[in-house]
Amino acid sequence: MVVLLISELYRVDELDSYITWILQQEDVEIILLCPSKDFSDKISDDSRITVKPFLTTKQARQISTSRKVDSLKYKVIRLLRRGSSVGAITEKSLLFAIRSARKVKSVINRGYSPATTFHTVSSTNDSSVSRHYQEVLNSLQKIHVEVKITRIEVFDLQDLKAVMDFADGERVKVQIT
Amino acid sequence: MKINVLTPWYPDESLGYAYSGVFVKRQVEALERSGYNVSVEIPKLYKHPDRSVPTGLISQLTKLAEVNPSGVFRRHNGSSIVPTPIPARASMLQKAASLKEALKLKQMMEPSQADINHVHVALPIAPALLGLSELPLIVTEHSSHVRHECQIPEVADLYRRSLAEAKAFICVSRFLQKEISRTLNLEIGSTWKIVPNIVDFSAFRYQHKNEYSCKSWVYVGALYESKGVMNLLKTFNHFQANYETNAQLTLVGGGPLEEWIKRYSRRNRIDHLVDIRGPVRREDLAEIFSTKDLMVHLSPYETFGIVSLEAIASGLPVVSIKNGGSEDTWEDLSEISGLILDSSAKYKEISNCIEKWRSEIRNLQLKDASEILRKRFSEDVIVSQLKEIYEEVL
Repeated sequence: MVVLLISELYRVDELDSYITWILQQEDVEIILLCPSKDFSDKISDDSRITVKPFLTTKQARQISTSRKVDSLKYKVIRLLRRGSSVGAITEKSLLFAIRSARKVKSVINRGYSPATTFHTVSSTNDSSVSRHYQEVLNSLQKIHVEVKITRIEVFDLQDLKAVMDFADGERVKVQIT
Repeated sequence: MKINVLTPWYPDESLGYAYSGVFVKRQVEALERSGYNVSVEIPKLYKHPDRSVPTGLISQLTKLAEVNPSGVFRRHNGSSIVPTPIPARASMLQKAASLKEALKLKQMMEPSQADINHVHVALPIAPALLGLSELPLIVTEHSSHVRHECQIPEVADLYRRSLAEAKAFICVSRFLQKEISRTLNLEIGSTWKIVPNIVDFSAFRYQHKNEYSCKSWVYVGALYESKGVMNLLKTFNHFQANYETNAQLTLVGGGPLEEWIKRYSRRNRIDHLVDIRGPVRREDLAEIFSTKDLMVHLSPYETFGIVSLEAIASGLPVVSIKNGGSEDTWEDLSEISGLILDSSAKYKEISNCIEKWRSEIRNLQLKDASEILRKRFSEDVIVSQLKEIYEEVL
């Protein structure tokens, strides 16, 4: 059994393409492990795919503000790009405003040193555990009891720790996709 | 000679990117056919939900790579994907810093035996390589985003520093070269070169047509407003309503305007004449070209504009507006291969111009145009230009 594990909405289109592709390449059954049942309305309804949420309905409702903001952002982008002139003009104006704001911010902070700025490692904390580490780990263990997992494909790197902790000692191939 | 190509643009049909960077892949395959040993690394950015990426993440990637390198660096189409964790809303500087860490890990796990690093699309790969690799660096720029990205002074600095280190900086057109020179406020130097994209003349062979009536239009590309697709639909609607009621339009490609195109077509009662095919394979594209008699491509900005060249190579006349890339590629051939209109032209004007021009189509010399393009953009010509540059930098 192959498990595809995804947490982030921004990769849904890629996931959809990947499922179609992998079902053409391999004769496999797939469990899609994602935050909630309604994570995406784009997922193929092929009978070889089972969708399993790793969050409860209540938890899924409480997903982070940033995810809601991202979701809203994608909705706005889709709305703006539906083809109306108003949408096109609004998008251009917004992009112009964002770029101008970034430029102004950058000029204000002009006292930076390019060398140090560039070499600053983006990491600031040492915790590599996703906020849903336990839920992902529990879900994988539960699935593995029901059906033997042979491979886990990880779509979001924040889930890697849970997957590796699960796969440790098990004969499970881990693949970053 | 071994070349390590690093690019974010490379086809990966498994994730739905069948056409992304198809011209980079064509160059890689052409180099391989000419005896070069080419490896391809594709950095893929993974957005972390937080504003910072945990340091432990690289350790986990390292741990996994130690037991199973291909589990981290997924192989696809002869290339290796380099997963790069980046923070939410990462700046270009953060992307470059994160990519440096990821490339360092890749080098550690799978040391490169290459003689040259050849980056296609400079940001953020070229700055990530600074101080990481001793190999000569060549940068080829294809992207139309440079002018926007480099409006931010730090990003422009990053780009300038990358160019200062690069042994050669290649643009796919003189138009793009001038744009970058202006954007970065840099003089075009001796290391700045022009090497166009390869046009695949084996897939797009010249086919003579007995009749060109402008009844069967085709557009190939993403369905974005920025590609002039809305203008195209309005132009087609006007042309169909005023000059050719049986005209048909085939759109090859996908994108967010698909729904709008359907609604616009229904509203104007041309839905039976507009066919959205979605992305198709190259062989199928050549087949589609053979059944059409006009390509209309109204994108206002192209750094190269390969589809117009593929159409002309196939014997299909092209109607386009001045979009930058066309200046270097086929504008001087427009009298024998199509029609190039001013970029300010509105749909009625374009439609009227096509109507006036179509009686002259029989005077076009499409076979000659196809042959001239072959001398400019065929695989052999481009590989010999690259060879010269590779030998120069070593």
